[in-house]
Amino acid sequence: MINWNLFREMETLRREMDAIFGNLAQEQDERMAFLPGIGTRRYPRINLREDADNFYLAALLPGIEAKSLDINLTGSTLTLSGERLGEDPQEARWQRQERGHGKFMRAIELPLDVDTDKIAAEYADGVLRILLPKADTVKPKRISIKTGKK
Amino acid sequence: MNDKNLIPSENKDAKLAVRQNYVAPAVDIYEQASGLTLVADMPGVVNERLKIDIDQGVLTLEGASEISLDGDRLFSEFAPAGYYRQFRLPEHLDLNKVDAQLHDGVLTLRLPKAETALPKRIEVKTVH
Repeated sequence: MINWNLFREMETLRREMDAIFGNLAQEQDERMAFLPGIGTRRYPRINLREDADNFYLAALLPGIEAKSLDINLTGSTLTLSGERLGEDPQEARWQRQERGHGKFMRAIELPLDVDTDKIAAEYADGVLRILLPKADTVKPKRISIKTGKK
Repeated sequence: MNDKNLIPSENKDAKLAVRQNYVAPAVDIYEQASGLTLVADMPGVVNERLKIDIDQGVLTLEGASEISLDGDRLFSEFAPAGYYRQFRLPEHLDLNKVDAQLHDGVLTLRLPKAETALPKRIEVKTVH
């Protein structure tokens, strides 16, 4: 029970619940949600995917200086933070203002430990992609059985 | 209810189905003395996949995002969709001088006002 982590358990539970309900609500508004803007919703929007060896994280972060992005990994919690600067045009009359700006921070609990030395992040065209290779200790290992027969 | 009601209706308009995968990008629009500026968030769009049209006073922004999906999904908050949005433009713009820049997924479109619409100060000469 030493490895028991409340936040990880909660995150796992949330994910299981999502799987049970088939992401019903999420499917509906997923496309609508392709909109970073002003609001109280979670920002940035992220996608987390996995295969046998890696986690792939994509975050929608248009118009951000790559230098101002801060990516940290503590245990298996990945923290993304940064700031999007707002424009302040001189003597302008605003007709629409839908894009948000300001500081943001988001923590993502990864389901498994990752190899911290091999994490690669790339920012292009307003999308941040992070490749997180899974740690060797959490990968399934096949154990071969020796038969007693001669 | 008879069986007929249970048959799903066919989607006759294939083009419409494609459009359903589009979302409207968030935009900022502001007006200055020199003209209008439109700023749109379009993450994942590259130059070649962005189309900007002005036809009969209607500005159309259309872009396809290229966000590759590797592996199986754990959770997702966005789907790789395209962007589509139209705006009706005012008449006093000089459409030959429109300038568009795409940088880090943000499109900045400058639409300068036509010469005739710019404020002009007329000097008064004093005649002795």
